Amino acid sequence: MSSITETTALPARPREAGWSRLPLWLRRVILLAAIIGLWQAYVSWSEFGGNPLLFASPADTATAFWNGWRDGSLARATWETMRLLLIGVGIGALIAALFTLFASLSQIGEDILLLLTAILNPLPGVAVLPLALLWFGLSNKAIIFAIANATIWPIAINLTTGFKTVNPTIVATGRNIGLKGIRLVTDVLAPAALPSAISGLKTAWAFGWRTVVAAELVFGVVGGEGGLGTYINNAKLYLFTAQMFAALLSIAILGVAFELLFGVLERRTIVRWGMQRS
Amino acid sequence: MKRFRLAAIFVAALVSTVVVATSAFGGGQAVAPDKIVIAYQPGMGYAPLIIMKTQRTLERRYPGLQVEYRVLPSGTAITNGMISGQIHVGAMGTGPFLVGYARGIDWKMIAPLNEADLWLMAKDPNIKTIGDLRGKRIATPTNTSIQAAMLRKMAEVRLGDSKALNAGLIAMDHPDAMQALLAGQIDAHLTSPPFQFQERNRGAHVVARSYSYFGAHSFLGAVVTEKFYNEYTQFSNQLYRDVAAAIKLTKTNPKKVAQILQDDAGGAPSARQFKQWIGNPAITYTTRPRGLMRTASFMSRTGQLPGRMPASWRDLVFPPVYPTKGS
Amino acid sequence: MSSVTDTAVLRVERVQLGYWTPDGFTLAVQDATFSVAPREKSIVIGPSGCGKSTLLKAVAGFIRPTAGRIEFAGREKLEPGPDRAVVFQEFDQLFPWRSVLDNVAYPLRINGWKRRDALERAREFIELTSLGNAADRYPHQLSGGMKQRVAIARALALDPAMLLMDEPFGSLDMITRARLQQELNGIIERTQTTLLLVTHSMDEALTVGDRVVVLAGSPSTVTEIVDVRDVGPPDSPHYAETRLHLRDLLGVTHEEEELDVVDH
Repeated sequence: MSSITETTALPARPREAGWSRLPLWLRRVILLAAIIGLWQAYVSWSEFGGNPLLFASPADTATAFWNGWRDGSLARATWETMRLLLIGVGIGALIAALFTLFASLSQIGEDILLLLTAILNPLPGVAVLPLALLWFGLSNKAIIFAIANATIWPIAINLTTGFKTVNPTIVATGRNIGLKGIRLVTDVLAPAALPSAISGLKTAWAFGWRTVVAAELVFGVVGGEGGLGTYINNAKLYLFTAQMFAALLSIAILGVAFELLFGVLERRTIVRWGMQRS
Repeated sequence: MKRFRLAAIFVAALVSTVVVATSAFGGGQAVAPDKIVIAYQPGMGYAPLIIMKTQRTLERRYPGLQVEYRVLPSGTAITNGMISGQIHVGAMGTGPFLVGYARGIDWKMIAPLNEADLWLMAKDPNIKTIGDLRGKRIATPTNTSIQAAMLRKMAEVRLGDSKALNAGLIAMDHPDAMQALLAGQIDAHLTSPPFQFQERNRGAHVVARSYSYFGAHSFLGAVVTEKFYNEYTQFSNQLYRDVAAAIKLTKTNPKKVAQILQDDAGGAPSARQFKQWIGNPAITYTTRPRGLMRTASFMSRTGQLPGRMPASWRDLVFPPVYPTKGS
Repeated sequence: MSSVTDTAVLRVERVQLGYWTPDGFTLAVQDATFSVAPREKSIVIGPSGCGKSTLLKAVAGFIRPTAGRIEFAGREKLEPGPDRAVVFQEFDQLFPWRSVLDNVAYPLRINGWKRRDALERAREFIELTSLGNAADRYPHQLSGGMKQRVAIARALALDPAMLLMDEPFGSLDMITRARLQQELNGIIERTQTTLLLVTHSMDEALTVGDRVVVLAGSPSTVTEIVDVRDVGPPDSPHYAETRLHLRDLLGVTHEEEELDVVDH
């Protein structure tokens, strides 16, 4: 072939469908617009979708969303839910850290942790709620309990694995330069286990989020301020379907926001340090 | 281009699946008169329907008609069922009925079932007045229930502010709330017959009665959509008469009705107990609606009726009810 | 028990080292005796599995001998510490969450250096190991050779009484290895640090070392201690002679070397 002896111009770029050549953001925007379009079409042309008591249109949802944030009701509900979630995850993380410490110091500790995780981790967060209601009465403590249970096990397991799989050479280096005991744990083991810790935290956060909203729905507290679950419940009671949609939209947006937050956290730490696991 | 076409086909398939699937819910197709779903909640207040169920009134009159009676835990569940067309006749409290009406559901009562004095029960002897309930946990069925409205009325009259007790309101079904009250997990329960009677038997006392604050008022009613009424006018009118007949039975033969209720409840409470309760002035079975407009305007005042307001009580009921000269 | 090398920094006397396996206790080193004088560069050489790394770990304080004694600067029961700074073979001995500069400065800080002094000293040693441009990079951004340089900088910055190196260039390609060996010589020339380096490479032993302790046998013993201070450059006859001698001691045959089984 003459291409061996002659220099040819660069081979023609493989012809992709026009779609792939568009920039990422544009593709996303177009798809989003298409979804909203389909949504509106469904509302306009289907009997089920056209019933405002059953299904809200994009416009109604947007209005309810805007109003909800403007008058503060959605904001308060969101904050209330976040508050419970933060407390629950905080307690869960603390207990998980203690468990991990115990598990890394003794074989029986590890055995106990693995056993408890196997039994309790599969429980959906909301499943423990009736029990929690019995023990803690009709208070937020019951919800926090449910959240804590949903978050302890993923964090503990990830942390324990993280500690166990720390590179022994790093530990040897740490000892060599004079680190011992607690300092060795905080300055070497902890940062080394950070990828696992973050991974555990992401999982725990997701579980906790699902648990808190579901728990509020089950809980049904009426008076006073409530969280997003209560907001949705209330909207259902008064048949404010658009508000229900708006609340779901809020939850979705929050979910994306936290994904991004975690991404930033990871980029600043484990990605920057090249520690990201595959 | 090929890939684009593929994507378009995929999307079209997805959309049609969704449309077809949900149109199964959608169609509020009033059923051809070969199936009808009647839903009510637990409680002796629904006795007229229970009587009709036991005596197979509808099945006998319309051979071939499939009649399904369903017991659902709350007015909200029945509301949802009626909006989506799965329930044709729903029996509920005036509260959820009015809220639905306000929010634009085109329904009216085809046959009110009773009036009832709703009692606010507490177990702790230290809770003697409404004022004692500030900051305490009070259970009502839902925020939109007639019971919640009555509580607000009590707060307004006694404490000057209808919202005064809102902070402690908890939504619970009657059976759950009764258990919680007796177990001490909640402080008070604004409920209805027979639960209030049962709670009193088990050591709770009456803190307040709705009649004292609101006057006599309707409690439960059977509701159908306008669409249903227009499509099956004769059936609906006859339904009214059947309910009225069942109600008459409670007055002419309470012993028999008590037995029916006992059997329906699975043996307990006893027929004797039911007979006592039927005779209790706190509950009166009647197809005459009382205080609907009063209830509506109060609920509207406390912000519980976002939407349209009925102009008169006749807007809330179908023609067979007009002659009762209700309010 | 005084001996000729009374001023020795390290004294290894009749040391026996082993480890537990599921099948029982395995002896790696049967009987090792040697010493290292101040500012001396000692190489421990032997084939794979002869226990030389184990010996180094014992000197570093990670394990204890089952028999015999190890005396370092007058002390016996040794714990890991910065007075015997170690450079491991693995590249990931650095803390990935710290920059190059911080990897060198942090060990100083925890050993009492003030922040500013630690940074200054760290920069000094980073310059010394030709890492000047990489001070703010993270380990995962460095090549293998650079990572090992950082490890060396870190170890030397601590001003250890003895620098321990466990096959430090074993994971590098031959070109980088040769270069680093030369650099190491230059650096140690400047810092006058006492060195104990473990390797299986004869050329490395001859290039870097003053004395070569030959471990052979299984379990191993010190066969001979060869003085290689004046072997001269690699193309000199004395070098070749000494190398042959080492080869014999190690029991490496000509064929094995040809087949590249043993490093040359």
